[in-house]
Amino acid sequence: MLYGAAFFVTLALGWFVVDCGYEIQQLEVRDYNIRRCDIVANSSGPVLRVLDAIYMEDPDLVNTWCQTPEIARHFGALELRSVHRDHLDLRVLYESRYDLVLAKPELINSVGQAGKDAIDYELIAQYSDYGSQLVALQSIPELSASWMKGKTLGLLDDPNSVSAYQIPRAALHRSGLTDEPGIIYFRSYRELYKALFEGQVDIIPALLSDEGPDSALQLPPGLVLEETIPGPAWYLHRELTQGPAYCDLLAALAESARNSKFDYFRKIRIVRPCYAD
Amino acid sequence: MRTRHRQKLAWIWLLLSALLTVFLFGASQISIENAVQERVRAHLLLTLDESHFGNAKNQTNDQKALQRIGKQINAAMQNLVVNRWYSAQKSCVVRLQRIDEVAIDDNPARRVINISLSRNQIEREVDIGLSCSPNWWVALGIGAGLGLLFAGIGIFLPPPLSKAHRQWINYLLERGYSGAEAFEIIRQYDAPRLALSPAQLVCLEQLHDREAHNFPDVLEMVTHEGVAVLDDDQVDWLVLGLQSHPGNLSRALGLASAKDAVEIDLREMKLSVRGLHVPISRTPLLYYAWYAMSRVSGDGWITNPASNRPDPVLGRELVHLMSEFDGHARAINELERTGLRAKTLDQNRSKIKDDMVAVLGEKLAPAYLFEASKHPNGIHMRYRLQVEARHIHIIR
Repeated sequence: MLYGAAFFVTLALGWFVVDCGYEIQQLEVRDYNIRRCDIVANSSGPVLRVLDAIYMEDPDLVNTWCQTPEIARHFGALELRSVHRDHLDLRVLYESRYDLVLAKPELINSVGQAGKDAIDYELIAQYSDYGSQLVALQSIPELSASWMKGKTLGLLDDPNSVSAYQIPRAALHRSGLTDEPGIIYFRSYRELYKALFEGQVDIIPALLSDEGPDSALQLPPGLVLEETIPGPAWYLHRELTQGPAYCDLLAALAESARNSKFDYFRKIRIVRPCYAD
Repeated sequence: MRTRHRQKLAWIWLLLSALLTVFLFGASQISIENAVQERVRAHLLLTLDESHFGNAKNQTNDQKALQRIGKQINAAMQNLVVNRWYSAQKSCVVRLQRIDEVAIDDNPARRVINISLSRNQIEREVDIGLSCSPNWWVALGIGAGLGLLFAGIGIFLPPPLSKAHRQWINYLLERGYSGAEAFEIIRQYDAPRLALSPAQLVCLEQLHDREAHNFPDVLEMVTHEGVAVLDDDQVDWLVLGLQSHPGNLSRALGLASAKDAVEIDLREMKLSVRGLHVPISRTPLLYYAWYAMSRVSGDGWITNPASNRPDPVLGRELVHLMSEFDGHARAINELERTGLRAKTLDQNRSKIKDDMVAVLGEKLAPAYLFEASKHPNGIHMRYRLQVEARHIHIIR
């Protein structure tokens, strides 16, 4: 009986060591698509919520804005959410969950079809129009079966993208290229460009803009499919357009544009000037 | 017995410590793996946005975003596993290593947990690296704890009883010993000592006397190596020897292993079997010698006279023998006068039997007494000594 008791005591201790010897901490459920920075100088201020609906995914944007004194004057933190357009829940616009939205005009227009007041956002600044072209590294692509034979086209995996999905597909369709080229879809422009340079695809749709020689978007001349597509724009919640923060936000936008790595994003046009101006 | 028991305990301690350590380390690792797998899987299901994954085979994932998110999750999981001081594992590090084809963390892990996660209705493979270090202090603690336990068992508890011990305790209980008595007696012996041959067992059965409380002495005797090799007959002789000379094992062993022999010394008027003196009075001894001579010189059969007609010829043979060896005058006279009567002959055989049984016992004596059969004439009985002629030695 004593041996049996010793056995059970050992077993219980073993179970205790195994089962109670560690603890798994709770992992906070959070949206990893949101990048946040806290502005120490104004920690009690409200949070500036920014929606990047063109999936620019610029990691420097958050830090640049946080270090901008104009932002720090009015806000205690900044949250930037980059979202793929095909996964954008339009409720966030109807319900005004963001203060500042970077989006293509066609998206905002589609949401605001019920009238000017359908959503509480106002256009404040816009990037220039751009075009869509097909680019290959070796030569200028041709929309012919013989040229496309055996080639692979990379497209943006987003049916909302005019330049990198809708126009290239329509061009292929018009040219009767249903079997060739093969198509691979990518979730971001960055990966689309990378796939071209790494030889994973032969052709990609690229931005037609006046990029300088140092721009990451600089590519060889391509086959132009469309020359005028409205550029993305910044939309601000109406409440903020009335307040004292508006002028500083515009200044921050302008500063951010000046610091952009891409020529295209340096050319920003202020649509609704600051009242102070 | 106790020393051997303690040696056995030491071995069990070592083995058990090793087994328990391996078991605890293994079980702890598996338990942590399962818990981590469950927690991380639940977290990824809630937080890993489907928008970064392709929708079909020809669509690639958003590698950059997955890498960025993977790194954020790894940062969040930095202290995911908190090991207590008594845990068999310590310093556990959990890292997301791979989401589909997207490498998140290249640091090698001791264990890689693979989970499957449905994103955009496609199963995605996610590798989670788990690296824990064994907490050797726990192994040491297990060894020390068990060591104390076994030391306590070795010092304070009696050694456990073997099957042989239990059988012998039952044996003594059946023979009226109390439980405590039986235990006290039997626990003094090693199990091999208690393994008796059938001969030893028979010997013990015959010598053991509950009243005399002689079990230890008897066991001491029967476990002598000389006893183990005896056959059944020899055991009977051994018992006889020990009964006639209690405690003298070497003499008893001598009797048991002695050659089978009947010696009749007519000069000293002594009868001995295997050297063991059988006291017998003169007239029966002379009758025994007469039968022995008949056995030595022929087939040994001597036909009993008819009850109503004494045999003068046999009477004369006996008169001759008795006269030579100083037999009783009265017996000689009767034989001379009437011849050998059946009744006289029967009385003397009976007397011989009584004397022989008194010394050798009911079991051993018959081999040296008479066997009977019908005379070929079918009327008279005849008798002879059972012992073979070559074993008979007559000194005259």
